[in-house]
Amino acid sequence: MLIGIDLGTTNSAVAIWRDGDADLIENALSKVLTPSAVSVDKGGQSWVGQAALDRLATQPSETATSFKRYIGTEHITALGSKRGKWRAEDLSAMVLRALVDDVEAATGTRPTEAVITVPAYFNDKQRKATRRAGELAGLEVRRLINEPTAAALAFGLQDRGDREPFLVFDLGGGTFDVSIVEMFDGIVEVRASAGDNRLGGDDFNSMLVKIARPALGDEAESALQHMAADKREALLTLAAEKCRRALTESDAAKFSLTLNGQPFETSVTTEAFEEACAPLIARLREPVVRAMRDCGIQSDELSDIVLVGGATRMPVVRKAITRMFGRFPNANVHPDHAVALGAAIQAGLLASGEGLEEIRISDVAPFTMGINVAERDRTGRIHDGLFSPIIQRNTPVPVSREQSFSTMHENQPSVKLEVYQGEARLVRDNVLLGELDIPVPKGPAGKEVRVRFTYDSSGLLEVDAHVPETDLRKNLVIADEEDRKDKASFEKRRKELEKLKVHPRDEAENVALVARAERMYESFSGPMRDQIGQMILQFESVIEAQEPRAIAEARDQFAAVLDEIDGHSPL
Amino acid sequence: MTARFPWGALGIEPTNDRKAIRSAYAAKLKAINPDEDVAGFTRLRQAREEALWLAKEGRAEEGGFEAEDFFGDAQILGAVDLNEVTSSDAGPAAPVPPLDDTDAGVREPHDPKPGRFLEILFPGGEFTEDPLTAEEYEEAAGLMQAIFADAQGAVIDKQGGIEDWLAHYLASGWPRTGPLVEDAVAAFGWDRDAGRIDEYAPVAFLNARLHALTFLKELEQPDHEWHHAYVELRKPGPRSKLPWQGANIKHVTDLLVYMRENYPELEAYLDGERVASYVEPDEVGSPWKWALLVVIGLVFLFRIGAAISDSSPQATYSAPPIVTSQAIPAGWSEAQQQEVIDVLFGPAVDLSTVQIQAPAFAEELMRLEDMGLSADNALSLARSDLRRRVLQAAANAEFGDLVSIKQHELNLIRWLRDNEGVEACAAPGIWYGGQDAFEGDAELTVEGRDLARQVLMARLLQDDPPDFPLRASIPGNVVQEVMDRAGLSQAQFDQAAQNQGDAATRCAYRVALLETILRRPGTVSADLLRIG
Repeated sequence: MLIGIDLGTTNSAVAIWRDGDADLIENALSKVLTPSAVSVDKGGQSWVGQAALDRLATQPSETATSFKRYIGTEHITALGSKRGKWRAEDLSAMVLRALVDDVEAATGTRPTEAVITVPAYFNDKQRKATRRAGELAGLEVRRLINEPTAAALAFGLQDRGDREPFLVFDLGGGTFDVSIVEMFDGIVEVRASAGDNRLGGDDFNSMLVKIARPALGDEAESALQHMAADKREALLTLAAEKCRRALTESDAAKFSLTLNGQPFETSVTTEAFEEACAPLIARLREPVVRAMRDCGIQSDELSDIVLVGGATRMPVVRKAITRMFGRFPNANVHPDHAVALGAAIQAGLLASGEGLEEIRISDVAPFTMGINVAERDRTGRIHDGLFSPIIQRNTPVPVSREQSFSTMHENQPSVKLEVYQGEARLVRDNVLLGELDIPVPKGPAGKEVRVRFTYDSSGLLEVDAHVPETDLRKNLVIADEEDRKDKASFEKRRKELEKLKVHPRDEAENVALVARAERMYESFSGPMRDQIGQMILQFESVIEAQEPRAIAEARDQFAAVLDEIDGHSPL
Repeated sequence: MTARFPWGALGIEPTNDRKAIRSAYAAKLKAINPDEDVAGFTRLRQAREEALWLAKEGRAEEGGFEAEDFFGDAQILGAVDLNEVTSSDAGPAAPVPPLDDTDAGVREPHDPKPGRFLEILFPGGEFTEDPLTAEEYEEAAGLMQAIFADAQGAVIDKQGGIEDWLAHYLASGWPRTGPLVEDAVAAFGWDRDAGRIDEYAPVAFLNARLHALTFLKELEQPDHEWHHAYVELRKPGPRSKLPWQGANIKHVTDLLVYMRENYPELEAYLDGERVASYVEPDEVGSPWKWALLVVIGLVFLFRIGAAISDSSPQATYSAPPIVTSQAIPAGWSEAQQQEVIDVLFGPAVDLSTVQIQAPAFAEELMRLEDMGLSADNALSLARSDLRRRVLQAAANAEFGDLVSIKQHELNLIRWLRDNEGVEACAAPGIWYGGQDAFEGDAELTVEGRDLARQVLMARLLQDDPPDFPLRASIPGNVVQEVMDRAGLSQAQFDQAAQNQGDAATRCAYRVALLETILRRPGTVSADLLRIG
């Protein structure tokens, strides 16, 4: 079975194509959104989703969130035992595996193939790492598609009609993408994409922490200072997230924390928050301008502004969008569901699903790709490290382009081609994708080397170098460091992930409830705290008795009580 | 006729109906697998873009490019009107550098009226190097705040337009605008664009100026590698003859080369005589001078590329031989003067405009007048001088003007191709081949005059040629598109790019290159446009 997965910074979701429609699959907690959070304890026991997110407050050193920000980098997160060192792709694989489990539980078949969405502005390394995460979770990744493209599919195929260009504004937890898409005669065509893969809801949280933290007072500050860094971060992030959600509804909200059993709080007004966010709001503009300019479309030609991503719920962001375009955005798609639904549509397309026979998608290369060149200026000085684009950003894919270069020195034995991606004039500011050495015949400078870049619909770049004089050809499929490692070590990592203990599915609700109660225990003080502690002990003893009906009953009661007091929770 | 690109590729008759074009494209696309037929997909997509473009221009019916259509773009020029840019109280036709608002939607802010702001930057409509007085600065800074507010409240593309407008004038007015630049860069986040391939030229210029100041501060730190070289070059007088005195020669050279390439204005901080004593006399020219004139002269020069090899002709323009002629003492009447100007620029221009916009050229006209030549002879000399200056203008033009100039050039060479044959179209360095765009055929004359007026109003007529060879690389996708459009093989393309091969190939190459570049002005380096 082929499934569609939205692997988000904050939340992930999975959907499948069945009976001519895309359906979201619920997780064990009957939710369609699974928080992208992972927790691993010293014994190798793991939690994924809401339970892991709740453990962030109680066990910050064992819990990771927002790891999508680090995907494709060398960043290592240490969780659980001393040997528990995880890359973002490993943590993502754990989330993916949980989603696969959900699909298996819902349909009775374990899926083996997937379409996974990535931010349009994800670079090649980030894409490769995402693909590996899928493989680590035991999935063959049939295609990676861009999140705004997926959202556009979900939005545009609602009525199967033609649509003049519309803009998808996708602000997620950690990434920001803009795509301009149009639809006609069953063609879904992305005209341009642009983005910032380091901007998202998390940055608004940090901004909130920045303004609220000093207002908590000296005592709170000294308590925070004496706290382990990961715990401090976790508490502040959770408080900020809660405050930010509250600000969506009202003009002021409390930012409150319990430190060493003592409550602290301050109030943040919408006005103060908006002012603090101005630099982030300013950064939303550039990708929009770039996308519009790249395809030559003016704002009054856009038929709709479609909002995707949880962070677009923030009034400060909506206000900025309304001002940017001089009209209200379209709120017809569910900002958290559209991407996963679009991924399922793409999955349906690949599987030639019913009702999708006549649909074609064409996307663009979201960034410029080229090679490093040197240049001799008029004073004879050599400038190295200049970027010479071969495929320009926002070229329709697939695309294949050739360009010829010449050798710089006499009797130069070979030419080293460094392949880069990015928009900077100097290669050092771009992302290195790979290298290729090709020998050239001896002789004077100026020997020709032809370089061909081929970029396919899946975002795979292939580089061919050709020396016409010797007719020597060399080919480089851009593979990541990690991809070059042998299969055995990949298998080893996959096994390690599989070794992690996962709670049986029928226990998932209990586990999540205990994690939630523990998080609340942490956030209250005084008698309420003791009360919660008592309830956790009672519930655990019911679980130990292993009487399913008693467990279900106790769980419902416990959840109801927690729901009630959660209304007053400072966290 | 339907076999011609793009209609043949789409399998339809030429049509201005957008929907029909898209349907044809959709049907063709569904019949292929793009991943297995990349070339086919690319061609199909290009055909669609081309067809939609033709349809938008309402010129589909003829199919492909036809000579009589080429003048359809002439209205681009009409949009430049100085009186629109300056406010009514700035005096008549004040020659503030005009802005080509047809490009990328550059637009002036709505409120405040920009007139007062521009008047402060360009007193009496004139460019000046004089610094702003404290009062002027206060007022300009206040007005600029209002411009920021206007931009921030505007719809996104209008905001972009205002940004570009402001960047253009701040760059044009440099160094007088210096104290305002930092605020503007901060307000619009222009520094975030620094170093990008698609950095807007005036913004690139302003960013570089700010970086220059940072670089100067770094040089003043004693631990900077070039600190001693810098201190040495600031000392007055020539360098000491004693070899053990002075600074490390390599550092001095490196510093000078780096400075001249990146921040030529910083040379004003050095002592001219001291610098001269370190470098060959003929290298001493002050690049800063042209940087001021040209404003955006600071282009990074790429070579390597594609089809351009060392042997390729670089777009250095040589002046035509000066015809010496016996002076006959007789003055021109005013009517005669205007007659000459009419022929050169059309009736909308008078001598005083020429004197303001292009003093050097006006002087040349006066000289001709003093020589007492007959009107015909004077005209032919004036034309040849004008032609030379117009040719140079492309090398110095700011981006918006450059696009317009090149659009004319394209129209002209297409006209030549269709009326005079490929030889005229392919003639290197001379746009008008055997035909003189400033006389002869009426259609061509209109085009030539519009071009001349455009260049005149952009204050580009009096510029010196740039003291550097222009070079640019041709991006791969441009190469591909040029080959597709012109129907050239890679080998033919390479030859044509080096100005070799037969006239038909070179002509097809020139036309296709300009067409390709002009279709995507924002995404191609300005240098490519200059040499294209």
